[in-house]
Amino acid sequence: MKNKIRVLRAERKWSQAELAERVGVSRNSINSIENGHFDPSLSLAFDIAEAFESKIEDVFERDPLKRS
Amino acid sequence: MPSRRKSQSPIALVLLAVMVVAPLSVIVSIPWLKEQPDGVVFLFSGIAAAATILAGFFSAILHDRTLDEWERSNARFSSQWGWTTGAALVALLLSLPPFRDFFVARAADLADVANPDDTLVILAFTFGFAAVVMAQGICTMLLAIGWAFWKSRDSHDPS
Repeated sequence: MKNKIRVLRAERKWSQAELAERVGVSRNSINSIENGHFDPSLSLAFDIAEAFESKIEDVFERDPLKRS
Repeated sequence: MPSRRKSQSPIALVLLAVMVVAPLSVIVSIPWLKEQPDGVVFLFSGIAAAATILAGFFSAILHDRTLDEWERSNARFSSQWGWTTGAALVALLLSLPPFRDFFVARAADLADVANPDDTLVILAFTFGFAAVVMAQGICTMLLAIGWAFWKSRDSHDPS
């Protein structure tokens, strides 16, 4: 799953730790998700989108190369 | 937005202390236990074992509540492969004479026996190890079945 977390964070000048605190997960979680190494649950994906006040589809999109 | 992550509670520290103190008390008491009747030994070590297991069980529950999904995935991956690797490693070590000799020597030392039967000691250890692995396999299977039933139950939603 691809995402725009890095861009959205940069726009708000948030660190990974700050986003993690807002969403209620560890910084490692945010780092792994942001780098595409870990796909979040639907619930966490909604929480991240909500933190950015965005729609989930504006933050995450399916990676066509990784369809399972 | 408030954080969903929970910090370790003082209860976790108490449970950790129990997990350390209970087995240590048995090890420290070995000289005294050797002079006691079997009933006292079984009672003492049984209470220590039960305390350790219960503390470990509740500690695992408390710890699990502090994890997020990334950390749970990490724990699932590492425990799944860690247990398997560890079990394979013990099986491998059991076939190596230096490890077997060391184990027999330690058992003889603790039991205060001058010339122990090597085969008997190794067989006892192997059966104990096999029992643990089998029990883990059975418990894993039962929990997998239970989990599948729980997650497949009907919804109470009237719609």
